[in-house]
Amino acid sequence: MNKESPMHVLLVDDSSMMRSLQKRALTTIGDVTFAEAGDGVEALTAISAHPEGFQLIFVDCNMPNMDGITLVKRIRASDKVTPIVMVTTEGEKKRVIEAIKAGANNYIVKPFTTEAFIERVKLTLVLRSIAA
Amino acid sequence: MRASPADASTAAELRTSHDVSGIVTFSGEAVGSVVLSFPIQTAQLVVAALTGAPVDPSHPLFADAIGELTNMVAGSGKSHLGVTARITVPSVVFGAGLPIQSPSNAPCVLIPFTAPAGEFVLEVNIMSANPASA
Repeated sequence: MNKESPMHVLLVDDSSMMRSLQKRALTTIGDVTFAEAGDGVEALTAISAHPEGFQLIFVDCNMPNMDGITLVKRIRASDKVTPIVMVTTEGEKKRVIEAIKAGANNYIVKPFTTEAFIERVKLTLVLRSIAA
Repeated sequence: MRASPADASTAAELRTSHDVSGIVTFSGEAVGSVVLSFPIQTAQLVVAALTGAPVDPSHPLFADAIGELTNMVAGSGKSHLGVTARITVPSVVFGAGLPIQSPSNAPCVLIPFTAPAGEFVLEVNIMSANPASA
């Protein structure tokens, strides 16, 4: 990560605790700024409000109003580039396949350790840089 | 934080065993509810462990953490069932002995656990949506 330009991350999860845990983990890897959304609808609003875009988006699978897979489809309709990581429970793994098909780049299963979360973030960013 | 289960028992209907309960409902090939019910002291220690700091039970983050924990437990249980089912966004209720509406009329299985933070109970009344395959 470039120390002079913070990484802009969008966290989409109906659980403020999960967003808080993700923020805490991400701040250990460098200068990161956050936008947060509690569901897919709020996420689309946040994306519209940040025309400069995000470097990484985390999307919870199971949310009210607009779920994670629908959100990924909506994002990918106009943005094929920004890496998206699905955050899911063990029981939603089948839906992760659906999310990957919709355009998500990676996933992580809750509960996770900070170390596992950071490893998944780094892997996602490396894979994205190779693909770019 | 590891938890050890004790012998399970059954109850005719789903009711909150303790002060704070997270509830997740299944729909699809399996229907019913999963409830994670904690005495308030245990819930406070569990939430503090999850969030990294003590949280007052009146703060929205407290219910949020209990709900998310219930979501993770129900999600893990769903993967072991091997069924195609959707789980609701978790809800949290405060109060012991409260009846819980569930789409399943199966008996409720109560599994008490002991953990370093204290005791809690996992309540499950999941049944197959297709009785022929039960």
